[in-house]
Parts: sequence; C-alpha cells; structure tokens
Amino acid sequence: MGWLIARRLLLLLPVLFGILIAVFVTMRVVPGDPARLVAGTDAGPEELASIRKELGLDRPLAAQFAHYLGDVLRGDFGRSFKTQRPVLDEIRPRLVNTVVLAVLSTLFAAGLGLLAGVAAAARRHSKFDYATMVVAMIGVSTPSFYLGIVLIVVFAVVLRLLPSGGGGTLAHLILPALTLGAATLGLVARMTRASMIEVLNEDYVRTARAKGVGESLVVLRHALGNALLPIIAVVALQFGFVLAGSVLVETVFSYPGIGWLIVESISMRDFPVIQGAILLVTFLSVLVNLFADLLYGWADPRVKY
Amino acid sequence: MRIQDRRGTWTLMAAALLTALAVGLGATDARAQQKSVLLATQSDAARLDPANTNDVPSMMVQSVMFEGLVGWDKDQKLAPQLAESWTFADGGKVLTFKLRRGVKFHDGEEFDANAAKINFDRWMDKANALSAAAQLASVDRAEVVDKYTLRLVLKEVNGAILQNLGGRRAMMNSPKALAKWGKDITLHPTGTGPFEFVEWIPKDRITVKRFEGYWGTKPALEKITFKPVPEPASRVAMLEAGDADMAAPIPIQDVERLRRNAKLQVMGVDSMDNLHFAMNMQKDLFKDLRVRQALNYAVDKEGIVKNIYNGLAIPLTKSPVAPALWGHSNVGDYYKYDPAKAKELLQAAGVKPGTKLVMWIPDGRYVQDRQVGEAVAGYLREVGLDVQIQKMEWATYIGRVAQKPDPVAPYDLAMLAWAVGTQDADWGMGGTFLSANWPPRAFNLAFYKSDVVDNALAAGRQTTDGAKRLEAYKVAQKQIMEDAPWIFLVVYKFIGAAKREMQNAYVIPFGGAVVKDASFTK
Repeated sequence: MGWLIARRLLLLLPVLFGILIAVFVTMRVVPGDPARLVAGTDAGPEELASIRKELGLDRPLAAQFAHYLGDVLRGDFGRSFKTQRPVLDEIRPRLVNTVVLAVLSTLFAAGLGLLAGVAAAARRHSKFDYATMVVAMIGVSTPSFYLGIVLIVVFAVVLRLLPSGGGGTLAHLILPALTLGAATLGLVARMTRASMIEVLNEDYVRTARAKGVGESLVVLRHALGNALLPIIAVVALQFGFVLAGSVLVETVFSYPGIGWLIVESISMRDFPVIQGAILLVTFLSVLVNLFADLLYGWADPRVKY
Repeated sequence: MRIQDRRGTWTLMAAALLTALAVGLGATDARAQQKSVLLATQSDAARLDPANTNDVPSMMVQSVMFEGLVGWDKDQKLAPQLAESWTFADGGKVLTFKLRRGVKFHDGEEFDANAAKINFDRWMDKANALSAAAQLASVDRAEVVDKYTLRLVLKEVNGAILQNLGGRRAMMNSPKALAKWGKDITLHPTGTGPFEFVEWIPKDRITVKRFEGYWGTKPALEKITFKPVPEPASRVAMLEAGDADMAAPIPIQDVERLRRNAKLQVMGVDSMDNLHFAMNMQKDLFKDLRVRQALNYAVDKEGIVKNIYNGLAIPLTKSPVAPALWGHSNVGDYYKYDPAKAKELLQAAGVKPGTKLVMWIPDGRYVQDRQVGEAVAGYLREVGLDVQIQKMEWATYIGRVAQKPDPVAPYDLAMLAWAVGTQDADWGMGGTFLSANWPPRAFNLAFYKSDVVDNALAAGRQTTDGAKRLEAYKVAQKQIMEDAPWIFLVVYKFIGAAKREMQNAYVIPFGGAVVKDASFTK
C-alpha cells in the first residue's frame, strides 16, 4: 500500500505540471487584457504600460512561464493582480471553506442516500420505494442553482429559520450542503438500490436466508457489504463534481469558497489566482481519488495493492 | 430494516436539525441591534487603497473611511471636505487650499499640509503606477505653504481639476501608515473619515466602526458591515429575510414586489450611465449622416424604457450624457421613434435592405444590456437591416474594443455606457467624443471626429469659470446630437432597497450606496 501511495504521488507531478501549462497558456490565449481590467476604463496608454510592466505581462510568454515556475517551486504563487494580496492568502481560507462544504454535503448525501437506497431495495415495489426513487430523481435533475434559491426562499425568507447566505457558523452550512448534496444524494440512493437489488438476488443471500438468518441481518451484513463497492467509487467520483459544482452553490449562498474565487478571478483575468487555485484543486482531487482507492481496498478484501 | 431502527434514525436526524436551527437562530439574533448596518453589495472590494482603485464596490467601502480635499455631498455637488476653501491664481494655473484644522487620521496622526503633500507625491510618482496618476496628470507639483495651506502648481489650466480631486481616488491616507505598510496599505486603510477599519474577510465581509476622533458630525451608526452577495436573487432574499438592512443594486424585476413589502423601502436614482451603441464611422456605411440618423429614428427608446426597464429609465434624447454628469444640458429633443422616416433616410442613402450589421454587447455589464441589445436588433430588422448579435463577457469585450483597430474595428455597433468618477463633462464627454480618444487611447468607439466638439471640449477644460465651461459643453452636446455618432438609448436608474425604518441611506448615480449618515427610527 505504501508503494501505491508513493507511485500515485509521483504520478501527481506530471499531472500538475501539465495542468499548470494548460491553465497558463489558456488564460493568455483568451482575449482580455488584465492590465486594462486592473487599470479601469479611464487609464491612458502610459498608465496601462506601467501597470503591464508592474504585473510582469510585458515579457515574452516563455520568460513569464519560466519565472512563474521558478517561483512556484519555491512555494511563491505570486500576488493577485486584483487585490495585490499574496495568492496563497487569497486561496487558503477559501479552499478550507469549500472542502468543509464538500465534505459535509458528501457525508450528508452518502449517508442519507445509502439509507434511502437500502430501505427502498429492501421493500422493493412498495410505495416507500417509489416515493424514494421519485424524490431521488428530483434530486438528481433539479439544477442546484434553482434548488438553492427555493431553499433560501423557504427556510430564510418565509420560515426565517436559517441564514440566507454567508459563512461562519454551522447554520450557514446547512442550506448550501443540502443544495450541493442533492444531486449526489439522488445518485447514491438510486445506485444503492440497484446494487442492493442485484446482491439480494445472489445465491449466497438465498443461502443466508435459508439458514434462517434474520432479514435485517441479511440486508445489512450480507448484502450491503457487497453492494457498497460500486457506491464508494461513485461517491469518490462525485466528490470531484461536488468541488466543481460548488461554484454555483457558493454564488447563490454567497459562501466564500474557492469556486466563487475562481469564477471571479477568471472574469478579472487574475492569472496568478486562477493558476494557483486550479493547481491546488487538482492536487486535492487527486488526493481524494487516492483515498477512495485505499477505501476500496478496505471494503473489498479481494483488492490488494 | 425494522421499523424501530428507522424511527431511531429519524429521531437522530430531527435532533441534529433542531440543533442546527438553534445555531441559526442564534446567528440571526446576534446583530439585532440597530446601531449597525449590514449592507449587501454585488461584489467584494478589490482594494482598500483609494489611489489605486477602479471598481464601485471598493469605492463604496472607501467612501466611509476616507476623505479628500473636496468630496461629494448628498446632492452629488462638489463640497469642501479636508479643504475648507480654495482659490485659483495665475489664470487657473495655481490652486491654493486652506486646510481644515484639527483633523486626525485613524492612527492618531494629524492631517496637515505636509501629510497632503506626501499623498500627492505618492499619487503622482509614475513608479508607483497608481490609478490616481491619470486624474492628476495636469498637476506639476504640490507645495507646503504653511502648516494648513497647500499649493498645487499645474502644468496647464484644467477646468476640471477640482472634480478630478473629488474623483474618489485623491483621498488621504495617513503618512505614517503609508510608510509602515508600503504596498500592503491596501489591507490597512487609514484615512480621516467618520468610520475606521476593523476587519476584511475576503468575499465574506468588511467591517468598519465609528471613528470617535472624527472632526465632523458624529455618525449615528456604530458599525457598518459590507457583505458581498453576487447573486441578485440571493441579495434580494437576504433583504426580505431581514438578514441585510440594505441591498444594492436591486434587479428591476424585483422592484414591484419589494415596493409592496411593508417592511421595506425602495430607492432609486438616475445613474450616470448613458447607454448607447457607438456606430463605427470608420466604415463607409456610417460615414453617411443620414444612415446614423436613420438608425436613431428606427429605435423606440420610449418603448425600451417602458418594456425593458419597467419605466425605471429615461430616454437619452435630449443630450448624449446623463443629467447626473456635471456639464449636462438639454439641447433639444431628438430622434423621436419614426420607422417610416428611418426607412426613407436609408433609401435616400442607398442602403440596400438586408445590409448586414455586426452588433457587440458586453453581456452582464450594464443593467438589462442583453435585453436592450436584442430589442435594438429587432427594431433595426424592422427597417430592413440584418443585425448579427455577438455577446461577450466584459473582460473579453473591453479587451477587444480597446484594441488598436487593424485597420478598421470589426464591429458596426458597440454597446457602452460611460460613467466617470469625476462626475464631470471633461472626461465624461472627452473619453468618448474627443477625436484624440479613438481606441486604443480611450473609448471613442464610434471613431467620431468633429472639430466643433474637439474645440468645445478643449475650451471647457481651459477655464475654471463654471458658466463658461457649461456653455462650452452645451455646444458640444448639441453638435453630438446633430451628428449622431451613436444610437442614443437610455439612462437607467440604479435601485437599492432597505428596511423601512432606515433613514438617510441612498444610492448614487455613479453606483453603490451611501450609508454613513444612516440611522434607524426605532
């Protein structure tokens, strides 16, 4: 297992380097002049030139990249064009916020999804089963943007139970986590149900029942243990989507996370922030996938690394 | 799964939810005291250094902490701030300020002529690459005459110099703080204003508290929190939920509903944005005056005001600039909707039906920009022109229109609204109408060149006599309406909303809200 981790981390290097080049080049190829955006509409050519120089944009692309790479290797991600703050100071608190949100929403989605899926599978074709699957379908197909606004109107404006937006307390996290987790919840519920139904039809389940094992033990121990495997894979993959999907949710709930930061930085062509943020998010996604692989090995004794 | 198991789970979940709700209620109650204001804005500030700022959200926050020699009063008139009075000498080339005594910066330092000079030197030093430098281009040097007298020596007469100083960038930072923080001064704003900086949690909030050593009238509020809420629907919901005391801007489609809400008040002000399409006069088609006039007759501005802005706008038919801009005059009533006349003019000019036009729109930059663009395209199609709309996000748009044309800019029609922090016609007209300001120099996107206008704008700059300046700008405005380099569209309102019991809070034509003088009736 140690070897697996080492190899994966080693593989991370070319991935990050590739991402870095891709982001660096893409941002400079798309139209839009960061100096103009920083300087505002009333700056003349002289001011623009001095700002361009200040931002290091007057040098050839290759020189800019070499310079940037050198800085990054020393752990210096530069300063934001827009705010002039060090990029890591911009990113760190935002990334923590988004990870907290993503973990919470994934836990909520996986937990409740699993529960609903198992229950639905155990009572297949019952009213409960249909109701659960309809709700799951709605969860999967409702755009998070719309769901977020509906939740705000219901829980903040009408019922006045939860804050309408912002960050800081656990209460601020509930609505965003629900919104962000809704799609995953639906997906996990449906996956669990399908997976469980398949396993419940297996010979060994019939054997267990024939031996006189109680139904709840059959479901929870014999069936769920095996049904869990594909679900772990889905949840891990979803975590990446959750990180990406947090862009919309963060905007709707004014939640100060990394998605909002990236979107705003793109609209300002704030190259250092975009580069740093994408790099760190990539790093995080790879780590999560690695963790999922390890979890897989734990859940399935046949898998050996 | 047994029934009991499930009930256990539900109980647990219900308990968790209740706990969370309790936390939520606690959070809401914590700021129930009405000595403080939470203002929901559209975006976080970029920088808190006025001298290096270009965005309304930053300027809105800065305006409660900083002051300049002159500033804007509630009616948007230029008023003394840190200067008590001023006199021009040498035909306008020397400007002497008598400074206010007993003014302290938030760090306890005294504001005097020396402090002012240190700020001027910093703004004008090219090596600092500050945005303030552009507005002070006509200043040669600042001199300390005595402790409370500051003299500005200008390179040439500049009729708009006071407006430039009031233009939201020339605001004083404490010399001690400047020396201490260097480039990081943007994180440690230290002005003389009625509120002092407390904290800035990026994308979450900026908090300021009342500055007890303020020289002027003490504010009723003890605390202001600026909260960025980028999604307009969420911003409105936050106000309706009572989580915010005020929110701005408010989308037009929400205004009616908020007006019916007894707990809220809606406020609006005619903005400084003169929304228009520049017609690219580098192209042969638009060199013909009849074509430019025809396009103006073809568009129903009243219809746009009524249907796209729900009446929250005025048609731009009496001047090319907004009434909120200093120097504005009503110079007539031009181009009333008349599609038949438009067709006639197009025919006379030999424009064939089906002529293709490329229209550029900066999607999401201006109030209802896309809807207006689509409406204008529709009106032009009715008179036989074939309009192709190209929408771009602002960063792309401004990059492309501000390029050096190669050799001709690719658009036929380009949307813009030109609002300036100086609130003065010098740059408010010059930026878009002077022939010296064709892209990439500035934003004369029509590539308009009129000697009458160039001379009038120069005349307006070369005197400090307000009446003479007004007369000069009037001449320019009349000529521009006649020449029709733009399809003149509308000036829309900026809308804000607040709790009903909040008083003395308002929105301003340049954008953003002013809450520093606010109080609550109960």
